[in-house]
Amino acid sequence: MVDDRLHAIADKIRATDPHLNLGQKLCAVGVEVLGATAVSIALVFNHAYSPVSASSELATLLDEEQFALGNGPTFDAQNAAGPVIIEDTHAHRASHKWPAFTPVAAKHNIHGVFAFPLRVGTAYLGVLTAYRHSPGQPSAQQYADGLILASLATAELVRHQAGVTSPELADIFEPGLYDQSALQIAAGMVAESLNCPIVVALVRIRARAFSDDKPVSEIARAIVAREIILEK
Amino acid sequence: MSKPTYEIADATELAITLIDITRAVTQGAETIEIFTSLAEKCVDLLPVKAAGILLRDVTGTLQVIGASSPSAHLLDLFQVQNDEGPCLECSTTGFPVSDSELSPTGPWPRFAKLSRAQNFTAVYALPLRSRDVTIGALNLFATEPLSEGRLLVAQALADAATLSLLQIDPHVDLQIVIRRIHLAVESRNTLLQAQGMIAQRFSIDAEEALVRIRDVSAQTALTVVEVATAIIARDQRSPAVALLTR
Repeated sequence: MVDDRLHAIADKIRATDPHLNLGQKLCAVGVEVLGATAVSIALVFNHAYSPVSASSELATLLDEEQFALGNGPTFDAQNAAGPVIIEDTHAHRASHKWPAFTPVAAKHNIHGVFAFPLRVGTAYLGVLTAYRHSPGQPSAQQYADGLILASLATAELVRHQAGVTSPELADIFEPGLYDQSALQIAAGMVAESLNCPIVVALVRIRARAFSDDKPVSEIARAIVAREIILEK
Repeated sequence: MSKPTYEIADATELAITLIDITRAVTQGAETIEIFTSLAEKCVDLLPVKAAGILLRDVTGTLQVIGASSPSAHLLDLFQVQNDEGPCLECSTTGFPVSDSELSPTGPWPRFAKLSRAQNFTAVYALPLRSRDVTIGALNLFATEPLSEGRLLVAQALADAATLSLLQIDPHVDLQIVIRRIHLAVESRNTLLQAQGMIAQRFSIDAEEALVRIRDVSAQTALTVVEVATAIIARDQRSPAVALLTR
């Protein structure tokens, strides 16, 4: 269906301004492929919102407004099963659902909002949001691209939380990394033994991979095989 | 050539299975439940030792959504097909693939070797498709070649389960198909995370943990994904969590 799309997106990320950090690069590519005015990545960790990266100040402002108001598609996407797609914030249904956010969107002439939860199973890390001046549904390709960018942003946030700061694209670019079976089982095992949330377990595994200088998948397999035990 | 006929030990069984799948689909059962049940039914109804369903996600990765048994060896057999194997070919071309030689010098030497190590001698991949959109493949492992009639039965079951994802016209609403596959992968991840917790709690492996989760699902009338979510949330009010306390 979208077979080589991951590689196409990787190429686009490499082609962005080398001075941008990885999060900013993902936002820049988001603007391009999602036909957006502005794209942001927000971290929601321990129920607290913090901005991570954005293609422009407008995106950060629109995120902040939603978390301050406790209302809006990005706010809802923080623990939604799948993407929250708004064709037009000005339409009756959207204004009914987000009464506080609608005037904010109107003020900045934002019509379409696509908010992708940054999710791995039950672990929620934040939201990637595309804001558009024009109304309309994403195409199937844009919807798929949004999910790909969201999975890369998820990997980047885990890395960020684990204190890994190397600017390597390869680092988040193990395709399907966060869907690998061993990593999910390992996260559950660590969460149980440390009595912590799954998100924290994922971060701990990532940090261990960094300190051992090994691929995440290798650490995950070793945890499942009970060759590595993460201590409190 | 005469038209092959469906070949099955018990036609009533097949009818009941098709009714079960159709009912699950129309009642809105989760994709992961429908496909896990499809894999189990293939093993019940056909002379195959193992079955699994792989769906292609947005990144093009083949994701295991349902398997007749969660053995690590079997999962490896699915995983390796992101590099080579009948499912990769089948889900790319949309046509069935069979291999009853599993030759080390064939098109997928690594996959063939892993299959042989599990005593499988014949492997099949049947497309999960509607018109020209292929969303993945049904993978069957056997110790003797399957007749054409039996493969038709397997394809009929696969078609019924595929309807759960493609009830809508895929050309009109590919977005919904992409969303459903994505949600199925995340449900699968949720289940794996819960398996990890139960494995750690009782010092068992992830495969045994899945068996316990399924048992609790049957006892509580909650779906496996609901049980998994309650385990991870450490929801003390959930009857499922009470049953899995050490």
